Amino acid sequence: MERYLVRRLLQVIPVLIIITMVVFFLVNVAGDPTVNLLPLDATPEDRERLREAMGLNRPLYIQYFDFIKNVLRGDFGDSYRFNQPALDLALARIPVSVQLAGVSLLFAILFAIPMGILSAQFSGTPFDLLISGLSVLGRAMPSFWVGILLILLFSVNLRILPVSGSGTPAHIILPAATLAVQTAAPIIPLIRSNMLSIMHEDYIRTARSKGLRESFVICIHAFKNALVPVVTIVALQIPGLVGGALIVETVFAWPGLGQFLIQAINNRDMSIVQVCIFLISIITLIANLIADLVYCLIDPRIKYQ
Amino acid sequence: MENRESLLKIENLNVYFKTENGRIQAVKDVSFEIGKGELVALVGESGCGKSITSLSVMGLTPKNCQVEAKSISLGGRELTAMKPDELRKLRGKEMAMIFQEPLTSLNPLFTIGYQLTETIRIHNQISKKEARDRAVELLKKVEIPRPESILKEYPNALSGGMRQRVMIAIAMANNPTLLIADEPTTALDVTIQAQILRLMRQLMKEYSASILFITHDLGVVAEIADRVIVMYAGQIVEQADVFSLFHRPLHPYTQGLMNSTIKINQSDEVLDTINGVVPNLSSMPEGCRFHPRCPYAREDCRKTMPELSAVLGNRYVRCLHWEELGGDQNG
Repeated sequence: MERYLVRRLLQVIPVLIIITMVVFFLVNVAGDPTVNLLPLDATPEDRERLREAMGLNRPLYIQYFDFIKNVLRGDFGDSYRFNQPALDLALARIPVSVQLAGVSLLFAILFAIPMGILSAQFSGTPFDLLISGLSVLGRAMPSFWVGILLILLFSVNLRILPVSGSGTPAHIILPAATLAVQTAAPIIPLIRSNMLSIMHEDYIRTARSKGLRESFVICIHAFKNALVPVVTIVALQIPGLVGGALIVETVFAWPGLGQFLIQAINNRDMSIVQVCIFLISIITLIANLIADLVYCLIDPRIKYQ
Repeated sequence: MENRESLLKIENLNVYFKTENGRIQAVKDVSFEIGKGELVALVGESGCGKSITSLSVMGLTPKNCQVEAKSISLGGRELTAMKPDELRKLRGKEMAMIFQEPLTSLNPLFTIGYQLTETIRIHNQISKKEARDRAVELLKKVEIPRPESILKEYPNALSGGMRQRVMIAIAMANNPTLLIADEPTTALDVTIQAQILRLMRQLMKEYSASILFITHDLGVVAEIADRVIVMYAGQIVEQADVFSLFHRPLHPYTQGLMNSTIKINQSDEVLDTINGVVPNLSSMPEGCRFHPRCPYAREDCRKTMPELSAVLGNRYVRCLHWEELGGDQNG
């Protein structure tokens, strides 16, 4: 297990190198940053001088190695817009995003698990059809639209929740619910189909033959077996919730990493874009690693060497 | 049988499956008794209704199953009149079951210790520690080496034979009066099979339990059973004590089963088989259900369904012409 962990951590290094390449070159093909920094009537000479001052006239690979050197020191450059280190600015947004991600994941799991189990238990009934239909709908509706609908209902018509922004616990409910719709929608049918097949397993019959209550058989003996694929799908969604909630954070003006990234892209604030993508990648790697380790905890048959 | 007190008594058990093509009958008018401390073997081909019969007693039939019985009583208590929750409380305590597939019958995600203590603790108000001690005791009883460390293992660390021993320990955990064993040795190799059979006999004596042993293997029956019930196509066709049955099988189906086992002095290279296949549940033949496969079938066999009639003292046979067929002197 320890050896597996070390190997997994070592595997992260080449992945990180590839990520830095993608981040660096993508941003470089995105256009000339001096366009935004200089006034529209700047002369080509002025432009060239700025490019030289910023080191943008050197060959790309030299710029890349400089970039790597700086990244290793934790320096992603300063934001053109805020004149502060990009990394610090982005790191400050992470707790805000994690808060939203955590609450939405909680909403999603608290809703999806009982609904998945119940619709398996009542498969073929109108209840099952309703839940399956809702889950298809949840996957089909784009999140910006869900967000706007929720704002219309709860903020504009019912006037019980704030439209957007952050600060009070009430502010988090709508964006978290919007993200939870997206997150829960694929989990429900997964739990449902897992539970349906597991309830026919021999060990479920054994559990029943022991005289266990049916609810205990379902929630303990069957559900634990249904959990492994659920962990996978949750782990795949965590990066999207923490850093990738670009649209939802923008719709609700939630000052997290996603909104920050969108603003940076609009402003061509390339250091910020680079650091945001880099951080989101790292969150993805960590989430995947945690998922692999959680498998071991759930299922003793999964062993890593 | 007569001198034993009855433990399980089934009267007129009928089981139906609800399918897309309507209701089909899997078990027809099955009645039998098991005495206290008796080991009764229920024999028949796959799909003859023997497993469904046993699941009906446990109340564990699949959802699409409909169980109707005049009476199923265990130790004088009427199971058919019980609420599901009352029946649940008897499962694992008064009656327990072990299954054919030891590899899939234990939950892969829980330790042996958890699965064993769980069944002890739901039926007894005792502490975790006491349950654990009891579990160690049980594992010793089923001859599992290093019981303390096995308790911490997951099922995947154990061989099939070991897992079946654990299943037996789970089944015996609360001293059940009735143990139903559904082909418990079929998935095991022959040497392990012999060990498990010996263990079951031994535990049965020790706990003075009765066993309903379901199998298709007549070799196992000869080794372990006191009395044998032969089922064919959802009906009992013959019932006798093990010695009489092997000495003189009365029903042509039983005779066929015996002829299709390998005998040590058999000179033919071809193994005898029973012609034809088990009839489909949805299209049972008229008359005797065995007549399309019976080498002795006559005109009346095609029309009249024979009753299960008491013959030769304490035997039962469902055949119109059993007396004429006489039964081969087997062995």
